[in-house]
Amino acid sequence: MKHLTFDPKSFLKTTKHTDTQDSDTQSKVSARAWYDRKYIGYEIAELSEAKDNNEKPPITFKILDRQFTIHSDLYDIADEIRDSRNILDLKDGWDHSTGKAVRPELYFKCIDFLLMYTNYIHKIYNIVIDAPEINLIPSGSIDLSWRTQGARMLVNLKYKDNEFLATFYGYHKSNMLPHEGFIDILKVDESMAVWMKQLK
Amino acid sequence: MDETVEIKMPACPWPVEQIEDESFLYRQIPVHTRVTSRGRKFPGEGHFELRDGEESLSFNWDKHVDVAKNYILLGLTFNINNQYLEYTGYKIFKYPVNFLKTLPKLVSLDHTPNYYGSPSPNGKPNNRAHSSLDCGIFDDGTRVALSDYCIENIEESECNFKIKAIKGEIEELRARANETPYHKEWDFTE
Repeated sequence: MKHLTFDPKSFLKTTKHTDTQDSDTQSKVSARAWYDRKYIGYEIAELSEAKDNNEKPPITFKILDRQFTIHSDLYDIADEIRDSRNILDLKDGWDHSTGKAVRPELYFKCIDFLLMYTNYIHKIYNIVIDAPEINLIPSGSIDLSWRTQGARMLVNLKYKDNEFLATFYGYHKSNMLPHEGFIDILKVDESMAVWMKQLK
Repeated sequence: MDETVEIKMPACPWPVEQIEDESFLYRQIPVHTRVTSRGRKFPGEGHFELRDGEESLSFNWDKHVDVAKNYILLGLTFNINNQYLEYTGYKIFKYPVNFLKTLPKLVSLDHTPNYYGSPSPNGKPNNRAHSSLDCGIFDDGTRVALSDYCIENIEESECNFKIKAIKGEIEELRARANETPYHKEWDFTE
């Protein structure tokens, strides 16, 4: 099932992400960076053969003393996580005001939460969801913000009253019905995972 | 001996007015400086979070200020380190009152002029236009709505203004410390 103006198989069949196929869309694709958010978020059903034959090695990197190993299909998520690591460098007053530094434990809870859902949706539903923006906000909590063609979602992870909490708000663009509440950060909620499939 | 000192706030000379539905409110938003190689939407949801001690978000009513005066107010205000704010590090966005009143968690939207005396302390100008948006805790949905309004209506909401045009005026006002109309009754006829 294809949702975009290019064939995502091109990522799987080629050795470089910048390679494109011979099609009318080639010029459009090559004009943009391969990691352009517009091209992320696709369903990879019917690509199992290509995956089997062209499996890329997983993406690995370290943040502080934590080693992360992420499936190559999730390169955009990995890219955002790597980019977010400088959140850990921000000190109190990082916004030239009363912005608080993040607790490292909260940052890693946030990354674990993100990977828990993205890995689950990838593994169970063969769907790669879009990468959210990972943003530190003034209270020292972290926002995960998705603005995709299919849905809008904000998840906020915070440390409050000696525990880690997450709240969320979102809606599918097909019906605009708001969906909000608390979300367990330690285990996947199947109904939430199903809802999040639209984040592509 | 009773050593309790009663601090009396000076009486505000301006009446609290009803904000008309057809008017607009300005929101000053700092441009964060986090280094990132990937694009960030601006303003983000984090720009609409309550800070410690806040019970509402501050706006300025366009009945009493324009974009230039918004920047001047910023330029005359001290930050937490008692230094003048870097007013060039802000963008100003404009919200229709009609939109703000549709926020699902809206508690109140009031004209709340700030008056600290005449003259008010240096670094703390009075603000006749100050208005307060109360949406409870400004939960995730409210922050999404306030961020998305700007991004989805960027043509109408973003106030493009050449800040350099008022740089000289701000320097001149700063040199006068609190002897400016902004620190008194906002009489700009001088």
